[in-house]
Formats: sequence, C-alpha cells, structure tokens
Amino acid sequence: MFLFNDFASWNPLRDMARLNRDFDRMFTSMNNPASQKAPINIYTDGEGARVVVQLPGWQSDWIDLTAEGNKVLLKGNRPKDAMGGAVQFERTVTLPFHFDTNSVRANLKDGMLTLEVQKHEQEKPKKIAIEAA
Amino acid sequence: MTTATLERPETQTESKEQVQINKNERQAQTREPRRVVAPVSRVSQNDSGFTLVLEMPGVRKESLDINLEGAALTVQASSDEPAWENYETAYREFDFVDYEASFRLPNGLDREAIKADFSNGMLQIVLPKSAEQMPRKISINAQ
Repeated sequence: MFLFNDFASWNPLRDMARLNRDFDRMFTSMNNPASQKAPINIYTDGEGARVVVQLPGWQSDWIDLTAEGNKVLLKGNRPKDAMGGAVQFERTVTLPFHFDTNSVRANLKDGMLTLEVQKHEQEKPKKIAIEAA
Repeated sequence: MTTATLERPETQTESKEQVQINKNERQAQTREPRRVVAPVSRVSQNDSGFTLVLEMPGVRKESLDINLEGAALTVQASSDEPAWENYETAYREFDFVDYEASFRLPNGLDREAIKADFSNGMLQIVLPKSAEQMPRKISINAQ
C-alpha cells in the first residue's frame, strides 16, 4: 500500500525515499518487499526528521540500527519461534541532510518504531542578521 | 499449525470521507482521510482451542474494543498519526487507519475462559474449547 499525496513539485527527500524503495524492491523478492514487512513514514521539520516504522509484535532486540552520514540502516531479524514466525528485512533510509549520529533517538512503542534525527548543527537553518551600514 | 474454521470476512477497504488535497492546504497533507481496514490476522488451532492474532500497529490499548455477541466476535480499534508540531509528512508508505474485524466463532468454546492480551501493537485472543470438546484419552479397563 503506497500513497503519494500532493507534494511541492520538487522534493529531494521524496526522490531519495523513492530511490530507497526502488533499491529495496531490487534486492528483495517482489512478493514480499521490505516496504511491506517494515513500512516507513518520514516527517520533517527545519531541525531534523522523524522516521516511523510499523513493526507490530517486534521486540527491540530483534532490531539493529546503524546511523552514518545521512543514512540510517535498519535491520530486522524476527526469530522463527516468535509469534508470526521468522521475518528478516533490511532497509536504508537516506535523508537529504547530514545528521549528528549521537543525536539519533529510537523508541519502540505499540508496534511502532520512531527514530528522531537531528540535523548537523551546520545544516540547521540559521537566521542571518543584516548589518546596518 | 492448521487453519481453523473461524470465518473471516473479506479484506475490506473503504473510504469514510473523501478529502480533496490541494497545494495550498498544507494541513490536508498530514490529515489523511480515515480508512477502515481489516487488520492482518492469523488463526491457529490446537487441542485446547483457537488462538487469534491481529496486527494493529500504532493502536493504544484504550482505543481497543472487543465484543462477543452470540457467535460474533468483533474487534475495533484506531491508530492515530502523531501530532507533532511543525512536522510535515515528507514520505508515506502507510496510513493511520481504523481497524475493524469480525469473526464467527464455532460452537463448543468455553466463552467464560476467552482471554485477550494486547502488547506491541499485536492483539492475541485465546479461545479455549469447552471441557466436553477437549480430546480425552479413554483407558480400557483390564478384565
């Protein structure tokens, strides 16, 4: 299930996300792509982004997160004795900005994994004062 | 694991309201029309009864409603998109929806012993068979 609603005509994040999806598609079977096993929404504001992943029934020790540069790698490995059986997925989320890897926070609640990513200080929007002549 | 004779309705996806999204309404981008969907569900059966598992990510326990009326077991719940100030949806693979499922239960269940557990967005309903329906080993009296 994939819905694109209306966006501004140019949206680098969307294009990157689309690329992520295409890669996921390329490397997983067509019947069960990673975007079905672990669907992702991305929300942004000027300071950073929040990535929400649907993972019902998953426990935090089945999920491995690695952050580097402007990418977050999500690896999931649900054991076969878990409810619903064995599931594996791997997804890379590429954001249109570099972020401080120490600032990444992850929280798993009600079957939803939320990642909070803060932009690198240098990439945050900054108000520039105009000096008086 | 065998599939039980519990009857499951066809997966239904219906739109409750149509929202025309237009470029000037940025709010409309984050407010999806509410949809009602049947959650992903699995039924398994063993000697002592049935177990029903429904996947409902993003649902909080408070919004979950389970009803048993006659032979009809209905489950209703809703998941709400987080209302984060100043955040805009940049990319979307899933919606926050209302979940609805109904099942017709077979006879011979111990209705009083039906138990439900909800954790990590997963609802598990255990439906034990009544004592008379349980398999019983019959010993042969020695002469």
